[in-house]
Amino acid sequence: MRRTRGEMFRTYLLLSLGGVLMAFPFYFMIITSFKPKAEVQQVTPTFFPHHWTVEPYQELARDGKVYQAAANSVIIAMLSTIGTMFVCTLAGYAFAKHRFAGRDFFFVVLLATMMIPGAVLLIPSFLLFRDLGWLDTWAPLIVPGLGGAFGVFLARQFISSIPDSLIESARLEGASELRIIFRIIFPLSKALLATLGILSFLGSWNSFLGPLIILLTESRYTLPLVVALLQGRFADRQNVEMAGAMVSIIPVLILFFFFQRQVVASLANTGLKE
Amino acid sequence: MNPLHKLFAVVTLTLLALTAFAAEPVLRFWMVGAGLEDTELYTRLGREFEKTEHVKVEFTPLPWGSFKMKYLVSMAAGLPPDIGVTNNGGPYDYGVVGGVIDLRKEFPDRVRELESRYQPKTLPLASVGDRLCGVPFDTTTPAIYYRTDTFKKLGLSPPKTVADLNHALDVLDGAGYMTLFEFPGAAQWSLPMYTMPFGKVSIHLDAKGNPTVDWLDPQYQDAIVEALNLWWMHNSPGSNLNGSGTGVFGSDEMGTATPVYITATGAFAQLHRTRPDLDGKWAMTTWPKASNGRSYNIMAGTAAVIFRDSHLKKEAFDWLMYLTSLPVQHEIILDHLHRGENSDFFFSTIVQNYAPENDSFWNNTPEIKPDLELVKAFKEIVASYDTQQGVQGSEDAAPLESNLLDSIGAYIQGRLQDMAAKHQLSRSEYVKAFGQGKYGEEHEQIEREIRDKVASGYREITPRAMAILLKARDEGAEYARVVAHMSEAESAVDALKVAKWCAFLIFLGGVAFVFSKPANRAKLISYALVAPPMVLALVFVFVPAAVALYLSFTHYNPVLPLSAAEWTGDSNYRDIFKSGELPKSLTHTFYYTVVTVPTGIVISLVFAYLLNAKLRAQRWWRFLYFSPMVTGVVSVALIFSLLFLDSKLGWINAVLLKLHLVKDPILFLSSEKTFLPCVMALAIWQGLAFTILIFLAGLQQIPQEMYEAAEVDGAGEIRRFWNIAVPGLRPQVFFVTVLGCIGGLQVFDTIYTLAGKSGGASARFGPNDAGQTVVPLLYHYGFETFEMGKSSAVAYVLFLLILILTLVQLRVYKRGEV
Repeated sequence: MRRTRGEMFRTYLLLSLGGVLMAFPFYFMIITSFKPKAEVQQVTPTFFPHHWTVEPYQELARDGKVYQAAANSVIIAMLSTIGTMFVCTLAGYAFAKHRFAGRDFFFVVLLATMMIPGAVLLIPSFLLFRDLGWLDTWAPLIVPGLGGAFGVFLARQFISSIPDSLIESARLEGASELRIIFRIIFPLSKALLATLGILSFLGSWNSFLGPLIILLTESRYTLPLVVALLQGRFADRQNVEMAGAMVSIIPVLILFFFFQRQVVASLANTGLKE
Repeated sequence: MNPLHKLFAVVTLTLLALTAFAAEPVLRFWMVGAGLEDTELYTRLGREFEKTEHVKVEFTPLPWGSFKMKYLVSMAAGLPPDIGVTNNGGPYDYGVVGGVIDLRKEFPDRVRELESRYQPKTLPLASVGDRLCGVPFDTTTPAIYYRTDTFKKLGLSPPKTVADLNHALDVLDGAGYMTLFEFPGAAQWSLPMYTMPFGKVSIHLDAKGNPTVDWLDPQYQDAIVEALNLWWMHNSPGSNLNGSGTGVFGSDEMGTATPVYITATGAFAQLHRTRPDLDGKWAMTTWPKASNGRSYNIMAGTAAVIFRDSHLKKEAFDWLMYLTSLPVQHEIILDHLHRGENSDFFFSTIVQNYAPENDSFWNNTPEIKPDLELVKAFKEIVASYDTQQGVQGSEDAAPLESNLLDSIGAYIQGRLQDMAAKHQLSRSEYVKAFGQGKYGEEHEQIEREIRDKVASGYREITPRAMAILLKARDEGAEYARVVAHMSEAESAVDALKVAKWCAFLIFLGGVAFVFSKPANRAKLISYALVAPPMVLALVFVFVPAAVALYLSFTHYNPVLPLSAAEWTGDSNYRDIFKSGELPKSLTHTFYYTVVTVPTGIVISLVFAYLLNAKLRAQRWWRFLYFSPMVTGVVSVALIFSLLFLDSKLGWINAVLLKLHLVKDPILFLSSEKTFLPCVMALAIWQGLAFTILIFLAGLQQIPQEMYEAAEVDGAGEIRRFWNIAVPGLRPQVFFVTVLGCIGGLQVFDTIYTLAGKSGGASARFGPNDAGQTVVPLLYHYGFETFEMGKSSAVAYVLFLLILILTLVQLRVYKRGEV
């Protein structure tokens, strides 16, 4: 919409003020992570480091846990992401384009799982994983989420919009289902795959309560767990705590900056969730 | 093989490989409260140990805030470490449920040598009946550091009695100084320092072996009033300073100068190194004597236990013997002293450490020389240290007392603030006036109120605590029965097995459905494609949901086999309501939601409207406003926890003070009144992005012509916003409100992190459990007190509430009301 010059000025002014508040915690994190220990323990805080140092990052490296956890989180997130993309797209395709007895019933049953909040399942899932021998492994962090109802729902919505004629003609030419899936559905579903991938990556990368309860061996911890642990391990070293936060936040922010459009579109999709 | 199968194969193989990797035999040694330097120390000692014993030691540090959860979960999982260092209560708590071994029974030949290293009276704490379930590891004792220069200036002498200490703090208040109670502040585990000189124990067994509390004893309450006076009636920089105690102690600037620093023993080592300029300006004294001339110097401590499921029990015992041997003890003590800026003192209760023949060690260690006084104190402490056995259920009953003390603390602060305002003073100025002897009547008035609060508070919680303790005693007897017949219980039929069979039958039914009709068989590939999510939903959603429903009607401790779950009808549901815990959590949740949702919506409306304009560098603006959406909650909470530090050490306090918006720094995270608002501030900050995003999408659907028409009518920007944008976003506002309520019901990560659960020893969700909303309560029951039944009951109440919200939403959408 058109705005007058004065209105635009006001818009920029207000947005800048809001922007300062939004960026303030990030600014604090960045600045603090480059301060030496003596400076963070000073009674009067400095809003800009007097001495820049990478000491906090060296301390983190000495501990080693954060970098290892980052690697773990990457592996877990990759496996979840790829797995989710496959499982949800395939099921979404079947729900959208195939006709089979019980289809709608299955779909409704699947959607019903979205009504059950994760917290309700916390205790019994824990007992179930114990029974399966999955505690202290990454399996509980990857496997149960692969076929999430919301992902299947998104996939079904998206694939419904692919014209039936494309699939029909491929079938007439004798293409197998697998061929249809890999030659037609996947190539035409890039936006869907991006959405599924981004949502599942962010979900996995940032999840906390599940790993908190499931993982026992420190070398298998995920990044959020180790970042939270910095509170105790470096109790009086704000700079190291913030360096740890940097390691968990900055890579995602950089990715976000470059794939902003896709990420925003994906997250807007979660608006369909309820 | 299709790509899908390949993928599954890769996943399975990866997981198998990881499991195999973990199977390498090593002695797993966990320790609560350990830092980076401890990891290095015990890894080094482990290598020494490996040379002679040929066992690798793997060290894992655990934070104070969540170690109980880790130990209990690992025991429940059957994957505990071989040996662990827990809090003092660990050997009892884990011994009762059979999670750890009886050292006397397991090592009858060698245990005597181990026991001989301890003063016999220190062992009851680590026992359950006659079973020795662990041994003390280290101990913490309070010390008072004071600035000799300031004391001299004010004519003060080192406090020898609690009354002296109170007087000294008054004088300091009067001169405008502050006092820092670091560890023994409003921490419940420090109460023995005040009550034990009178022989009063918070929770204990009486002569007949029945659980009881001393809370109604007038002498106990006197001691508590004394403690509350020390903690809250003086000027303090706050307790949440992120370890900057030495910073404020070294400051000479009025407003931060804190010449008295009450903390754990170790601080002197750090003071010498971080502030060499202060050498000679300070001294240390031990905790003062109570009014009856007796003193008690134990704050807290740790103990070592060996776990029942360990396969390396003998090696674990060897490691324990190794760690408690004198040369290694010396190595540990020296290592703690040589940690540069992070130096501290390792105070173990191994008697030989303080035996006369060992004096040369202390005398010949230059680092300890200035503090030989402390070693002398240790000698006395170890010689007179008296402990008694734990009490079943004290873990659950004790928080009642800590929460009461928190709330009285908040009350005192509020009172001081209000009274100060009457005289147009800040709280610190008012307390300063107290110190100068002004407003004596008001001072007495507040003290009387504290006394009344203590009396009425304990009157209220005592019956509740007794009920918890008596119930726990019965449960303890039940546990003992199960522990005695562990293998039978393990093979018995349990709910999960039943649920799994049901799930398997449903699965078979599905398969039969597919194969029974030729028409279905022809669609095999369709079924195969939808099978993975359906099976996952069945196994990981419906089975657990059914088991949770069953569990909510039982009493079950997960360290025991599931078959030990005991059917108790609806008692869990009644308990969570009657104990007041769930209503309290729901109130907190309601408060949280009622603030965060509307505030978030109003702010988001404004910024969505602004961002909808044609902006230069739009990509950057959106990046700025949307980035909180992709950043992990835990990292963000960690940042906020530092922004919200007490005193002007925290940026937010520093800014507020600088702008003269507040007179006294706000005790953001250490006061029950401000804790939840801090969580809300974080939630609003982080939630804005998503709400703005939804609103932007909505704004883009509002036809441009409507704005133009309004413009023609002469509507200014504010009117266009109010009359067109806001009404046009009604569906989005409704949607975001419902989503916000559902989100509010499920908030957890931020509260967990801001409450410092990954760090400090506060085992609660904020002061007075002010941040205990629904999911934290569920977590608390499930993984802190291990009442899986109650936890499941909370889960089902939560489910019901979310279901109602969702149904309301569906209804509204169906009617097309928005």
